[in-house]
Amino acid sequence: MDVKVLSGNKAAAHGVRLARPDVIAMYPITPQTPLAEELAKFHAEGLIDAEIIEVEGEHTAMSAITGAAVAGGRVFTATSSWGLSYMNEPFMFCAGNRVPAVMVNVTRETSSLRGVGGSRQDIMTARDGGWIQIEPETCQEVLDSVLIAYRLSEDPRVLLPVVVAYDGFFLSHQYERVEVPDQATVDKFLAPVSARIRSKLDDPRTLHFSISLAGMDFANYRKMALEAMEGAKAIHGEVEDEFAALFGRRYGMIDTYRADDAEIIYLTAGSCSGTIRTIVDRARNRGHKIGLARLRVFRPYPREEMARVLEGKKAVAVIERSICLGWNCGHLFQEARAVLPDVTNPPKMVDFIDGLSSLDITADHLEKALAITMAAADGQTVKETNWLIWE
Amino acid sequence: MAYPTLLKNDNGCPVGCQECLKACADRGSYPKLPQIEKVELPEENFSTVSTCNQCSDGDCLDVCPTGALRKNSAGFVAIDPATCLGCGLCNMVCPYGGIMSIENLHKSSKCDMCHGRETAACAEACPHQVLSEMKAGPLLESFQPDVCSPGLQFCAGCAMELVARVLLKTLGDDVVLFGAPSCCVLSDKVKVQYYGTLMTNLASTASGVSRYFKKTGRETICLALTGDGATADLAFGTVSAAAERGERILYVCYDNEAYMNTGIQRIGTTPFGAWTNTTQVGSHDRGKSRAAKDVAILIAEHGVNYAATATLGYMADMVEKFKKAKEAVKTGFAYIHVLAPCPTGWKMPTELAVAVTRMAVSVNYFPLWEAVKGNFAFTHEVKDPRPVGDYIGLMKRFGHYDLRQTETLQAIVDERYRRLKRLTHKLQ
Repeated sequence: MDVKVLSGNKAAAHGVRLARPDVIAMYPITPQTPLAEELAKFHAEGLIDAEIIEVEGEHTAMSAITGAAVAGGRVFTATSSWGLSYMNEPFMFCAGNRVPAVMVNVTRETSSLRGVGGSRQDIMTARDGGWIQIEPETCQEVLDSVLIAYRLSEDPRVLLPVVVAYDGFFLSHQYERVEVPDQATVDKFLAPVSARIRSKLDDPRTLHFSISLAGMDFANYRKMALEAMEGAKAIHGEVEDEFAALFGRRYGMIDTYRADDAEIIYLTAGSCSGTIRTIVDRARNRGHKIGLARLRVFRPYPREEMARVLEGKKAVAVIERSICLGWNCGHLFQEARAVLPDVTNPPKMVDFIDGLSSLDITADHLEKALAITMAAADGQTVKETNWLIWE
Repeated sequence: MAYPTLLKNDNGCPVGCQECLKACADRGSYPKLPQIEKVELPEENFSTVSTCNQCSDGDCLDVCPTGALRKNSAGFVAIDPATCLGCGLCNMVCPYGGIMSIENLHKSSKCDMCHGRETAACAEACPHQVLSEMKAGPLLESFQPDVCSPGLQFCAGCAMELVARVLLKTLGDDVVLFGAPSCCVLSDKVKVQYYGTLMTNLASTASGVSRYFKKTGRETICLALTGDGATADLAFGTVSAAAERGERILYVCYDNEAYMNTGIQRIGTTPFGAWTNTTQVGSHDRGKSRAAKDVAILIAEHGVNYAATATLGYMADMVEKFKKAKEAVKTGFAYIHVLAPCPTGWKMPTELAVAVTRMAVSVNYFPLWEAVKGNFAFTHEVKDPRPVGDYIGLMKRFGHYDLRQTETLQAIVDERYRRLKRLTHKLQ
């Protein structure tokens, strides 16, 4: 094990290196570019034994890794924002055909050409693409999540692609202390999926890989995909147990902080959780029972666990970096609300939009959000959706 | 081994001429009767000669109740008179009228290619060069077992089955065949591994597979077979990029010059002035207003290992190019652009599919060339090209053409040919 100071992008690159992929397809886009560059550097120095395809665009990147995975290879690509939009067609195809693949999406705005700013908008537009989605909080977790992603994706009970989506700039470009595991331990962790028979194109009986399923066959295939996605929740737990045993870290599908006895919790995803932990501590020092729930695995959505987390809370302050047009709120709020019928005494929920286009989610903003949510918990009427920059 | 067969061309077999029949009867073997037949419709000024094709797997061989018919070691179908009953079943099943009945003897007989003579007597005697003898050996010898199912689903008169069959027979079965949604989806109709992709990512997906094969040391050919839609229009960038990266992909584009699978719509390779359902003919519009994109040259200009044009009327040329591409793809990108007529979309008689390609070549509409790493050379140079009108007259998609449009297309064809000619000139 090595301790290094790495950005999120470099941490991801180390995760990819340690996973020993066969084929990597890369196309640069801000803020993912340093990851592509780091992998090219690893390749130049002979640190990874992978075919790197320098593709002409993200559409080909996703198509090429899908092809290589079908042929039996372990694969990787990464993108951001418009790149994710551009690859949408093969992105859906990859998941639709249940091809195991791992990618990184460094999250960014998509709604303007000048939207070269962090946000979770891009990955939220892909939430129905059929991919498992993991959203880390720290650079360490970026590296760990890449390794976990391979175990999940290639598990014969899952066989769904996994995207690790971390905050553009806030995680991709900020440096933190990262423990880089040694190769032997990673090999041990990935052994159960590395050893499986991977190639269908080597098997002469399996001659046909096509999109031509129709009617009942198609419906059956979709049902199996739905069940695999549901089953991935339990398998994620198993994989995390093994990961924790080897590396000593565990995150959960929902990562909570001082939430058990809390009356009010923040609900969020991604890097701003770090700031929120500080606010939680401050509020606790003032005598308020405040906690944090960070949604780490967005797909499959941990419905049951979310219901358990929300049970007994008075109010929830949802902090989010994306907007769900047509619902007048953000995506985290919309989806957490859908869990409320499973909660005996549903909490009041207040939504806070902040941090679009790389704007900071500041401590000041988070205190404001807490004040509004406490007022709601006391029975006062508050707006359901609030924009923290104007509150 | 040589597999001889008689070949007829369209030089014009005159009504009333009997020279070939006489020569056959006098060829010096038994029975002293012609083993070929003359078919004439004087009122239509139609005349031809029907001969045995020496089919490789003819129905006559299956139907004979005594096994008297055999394909012998010299490569022609022979009847053993000792075992022949003269039942005439072989005569009935032959679609070419290649078998005769000798009534008084109750035996069947047929052409034996004048076995023992240098050239068949009929071919030697024909004063109009209609009949000739062809040795099909080199072509057939290069063929591998047929991996396509006996019947493939195409429109009447479509020659894509021939292209696909010959392509796979030439390459063998160590192939992963990539196909996209198109007319020619072979998927479960071929005994090679098949990978169905989106229309937009055939070359990209094949790149991924090919790289994995490269990493694992596998020699299997990644063969992309798709139409002009996926190649010339919406995925052109991906083909260009795979060519630039030198991916080990053998890419065959069958160009029927429109989106035929969706019902005949304009595409980049649709020729100037052609009617399609999205380039209609009326008082304001006269078919496609722009010239076709010359995709084959564009790909060749990437300097790829091998690029060529090929078409059905020149089968030996096409097979030769498939063989060269098979070799070239071991180290990089190979591209073959096949002109594949669509009788439905080109609005032409179904029996003209092969003839129309021969005409496309002879008017220089579709010159046959190859380019090895960007070095161009003709593989069949037309000495005296016919006017382009001879080609467009075969198809109703050009039926609305006026003189000005014909002149414009002629100018496009001439200019492109001049450009190609310049490309074939080597600098000293």
